[in-house]
Amino acid sequence: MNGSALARFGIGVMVACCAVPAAALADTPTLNPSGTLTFSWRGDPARGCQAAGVCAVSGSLEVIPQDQSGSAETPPTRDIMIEDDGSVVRVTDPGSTTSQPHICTQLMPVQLQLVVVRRRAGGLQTTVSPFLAPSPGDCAGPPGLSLSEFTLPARRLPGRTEAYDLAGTETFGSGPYAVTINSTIRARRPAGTGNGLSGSSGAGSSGPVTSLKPHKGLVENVSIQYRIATAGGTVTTTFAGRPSPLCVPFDACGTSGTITDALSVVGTRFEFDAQRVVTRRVSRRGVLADLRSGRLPLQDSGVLIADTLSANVDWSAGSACTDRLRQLNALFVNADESQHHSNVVFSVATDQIEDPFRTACPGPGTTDVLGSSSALGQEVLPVRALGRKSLRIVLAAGGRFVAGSYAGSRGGGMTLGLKLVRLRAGTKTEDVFPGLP
Amino acid sequence: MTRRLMIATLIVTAFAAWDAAAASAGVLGQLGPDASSSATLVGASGTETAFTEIPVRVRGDLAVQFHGDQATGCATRGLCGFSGTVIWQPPPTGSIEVDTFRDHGRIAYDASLDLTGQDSLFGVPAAGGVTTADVRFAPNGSAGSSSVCTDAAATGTDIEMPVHLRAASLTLAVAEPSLLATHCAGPLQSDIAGTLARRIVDVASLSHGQVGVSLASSSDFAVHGLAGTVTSTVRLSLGRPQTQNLGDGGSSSAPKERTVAVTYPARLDGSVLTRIHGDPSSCAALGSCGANGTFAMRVHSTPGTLLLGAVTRPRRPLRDALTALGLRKDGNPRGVFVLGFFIVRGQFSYSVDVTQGPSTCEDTGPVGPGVVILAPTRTRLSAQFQVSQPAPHLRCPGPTVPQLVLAAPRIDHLTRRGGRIHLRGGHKLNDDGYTGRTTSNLTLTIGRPKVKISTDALRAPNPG
Repeated sequence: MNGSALARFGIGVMVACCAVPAAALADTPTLNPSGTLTFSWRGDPARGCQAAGVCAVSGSLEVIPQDQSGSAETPPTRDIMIEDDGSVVRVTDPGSTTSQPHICTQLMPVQLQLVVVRRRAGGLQTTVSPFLAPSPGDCAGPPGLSLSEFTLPARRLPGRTEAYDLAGTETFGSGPYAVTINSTIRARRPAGTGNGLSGSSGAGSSGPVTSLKPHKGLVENVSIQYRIATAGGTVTTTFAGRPSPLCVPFDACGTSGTITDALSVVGTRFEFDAQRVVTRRVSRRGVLADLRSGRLPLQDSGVLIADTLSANVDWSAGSACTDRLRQLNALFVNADESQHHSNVVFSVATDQIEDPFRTACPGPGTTDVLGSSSALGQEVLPVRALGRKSLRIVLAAGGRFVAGSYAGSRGGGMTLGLKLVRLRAGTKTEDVFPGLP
Repeated sequence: MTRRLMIATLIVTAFAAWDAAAASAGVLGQLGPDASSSATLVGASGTETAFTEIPVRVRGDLAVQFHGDQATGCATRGLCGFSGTVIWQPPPTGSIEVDTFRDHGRIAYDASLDLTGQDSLFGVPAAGGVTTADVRFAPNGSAGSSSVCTDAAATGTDIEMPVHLRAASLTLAVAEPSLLATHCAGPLQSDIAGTLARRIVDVASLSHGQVGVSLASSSDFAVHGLAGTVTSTVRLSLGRPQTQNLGDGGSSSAPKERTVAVTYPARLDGSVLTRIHGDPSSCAALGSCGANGTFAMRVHSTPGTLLLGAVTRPRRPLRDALTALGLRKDGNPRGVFVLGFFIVRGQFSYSVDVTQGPSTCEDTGPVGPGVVILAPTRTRLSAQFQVSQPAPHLRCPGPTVPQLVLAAPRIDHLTRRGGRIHLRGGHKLNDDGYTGRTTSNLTLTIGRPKVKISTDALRAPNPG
């Protein structure tokens, strides 16, 4: 280690250590967890693992909470933060033997907030609020957010220090898998005061609040509503394991597959709005001209849509995994105005909570396929097209990816047919708040 | 005053008091803003004039395939039965940060590759790359019963780029945390350092950005009982840089503060022992079932300086800071920021033995410098001991050992007398695949203190 590295090391340590000192602020230490939270799953014949081809799949994710003893909160709550940056998913795939194991391994950081609440029937229980939900990642396992949809029993431990025992086991089904969650978590509130460096603060002041007084003003506005009359097409992602040894981590050597995503959005309404404060009345024709010329900035718009996800993955051992699921909240169709107000950019994008590439089968996820983008497909229309009786939007997808143990490409596209429902444009007198454009 | 500023003040004061040799070697000058996000650190010995950040796209992977090697002594280390693959995959983006500063009239640079990416979606780690290991252990060759360790870890957050005569050196061999650090057995980063590409880039080229830097290489290695191949396809594409000119690095209207620093000649001796066992509930995936082991670190440090400092606003009575440091009893210590540290250098030895069935893996290695940090609780000091040893199990399998938090005596005992502080204590270890306990028997020997009081030791940026 050279001098610079030494200095950095020392300072890194210093900054890290400063979660310890100075009992300056009278915050309450947060509940500090210990123990382990283990998620495990295996293909369940009673849930159709045979048809999905996952009966030989078993996996686990062990979460060991990081020490939270430096955190504080005001006022005190019964929230317990479970954070593990180093939790690892390990899934045993079909064809695995003692001499020739097939194990998919992936780092999957977990961040959960466990909230101890009082049940109506009496007693305590723990509910879960995920920030980074436990997930099988690119390995085979329960899809969606199902691994964070559980509750745990809670019991107040005797003694002067506030402490809870969240030990318990819960079993439930998710897709073709039976899931078991085993908790040995205990949480104790350390004595003394926290340092006020982290944790929530319910008593914080955000400075002087200026009351905003509206005044009457003229607002030029347009509202255009379309109905999504037709939706068709699919985005198809094909992938295969990368050459050895890069395929080893996810046990993807010899694996190949296809993920198909189809929209089902018929009937959903799509609304485009634009407005600005003006000094004199503008006619309907003038408002539309302002919109189409870019003088009247369009507000971002979007609709949450349902989609049907299908996966077909051939394991290296010869068998195949198939899954099909309908997601209600994984995708948006967004419409954002371009920087110069001349175009509308339509995109079908992820909601960044549920992963629209995750099924019960193994395979690349959104981060692998899309990188830092969240758009599956995109189309650019000129703003002047808004107001037409019908619009045809082709959200084209394309591109190659190499990430993790997989490489592949996506193609295809989704086509939306929009029918005009109503168009309102004009100038009206409204309450206007200071700062409104 | 912000807590970060206080830390910066103390660090600068400490380094100023620390070691003339280190200062002359340019340690102070090389402190970069990212060390504590405060450019004022550099200002202690040199004036930072510019800060350049260059966005970087990173592609490719590092793959290490290895096996036990008789020719380099796998038998004596118990490594003959191990074979496996370790893959490091970098994050897709990062940044190169270049500080330009004036040190004793000369322009100098500090550069590093920061791979702390933006928060990613869907649970993918935000910091650094990811190392995945798949290591098999067959004690008696392929015919014996084997176990498999599979693991993954976030690694490779920061890569230092030492600059000499305007030439910045870039290699994956100095990445921190180590690109090969997991719970599984395998080579250390230092074992493959010689096989990794080292690229020399002119600082001016870096600062202009928009160039590619290839860290691709392919080579064999055989050292310390392990042999194999190292293949890197890692390539950086530098984007358009953004440079911030900082002028003289400080504002005359910046707030001032008072620092009271107590320095002691100090030395650290003793040992830290960690006993580990395979955790029956989670050992299978890590191949650690039935494992028992000991990690022993022995420390005999060279004499150095322990600094204990207090930072306050200059208008507060001096007695408040002195009370916070235990030198007086009549002040109000509330709100005074107190922190101390001792950088431990010298002879460190580290030995590991892990037994599993009839096999024992034994390894020894040097340990990098460490730090003892002292921070006050209500009634006494708490000491934390950290060493820069990213894989405490060395080439053997084993857990990650957290930093030691040890109890220390009441603050006034330390500040008035000096003498010996016994840093004894221990804690339970609960890691993926392993349980255990760490106990320490360290002694910090300190001499007579010197007190230094200074106001505005550090010209500070506006905390707001």
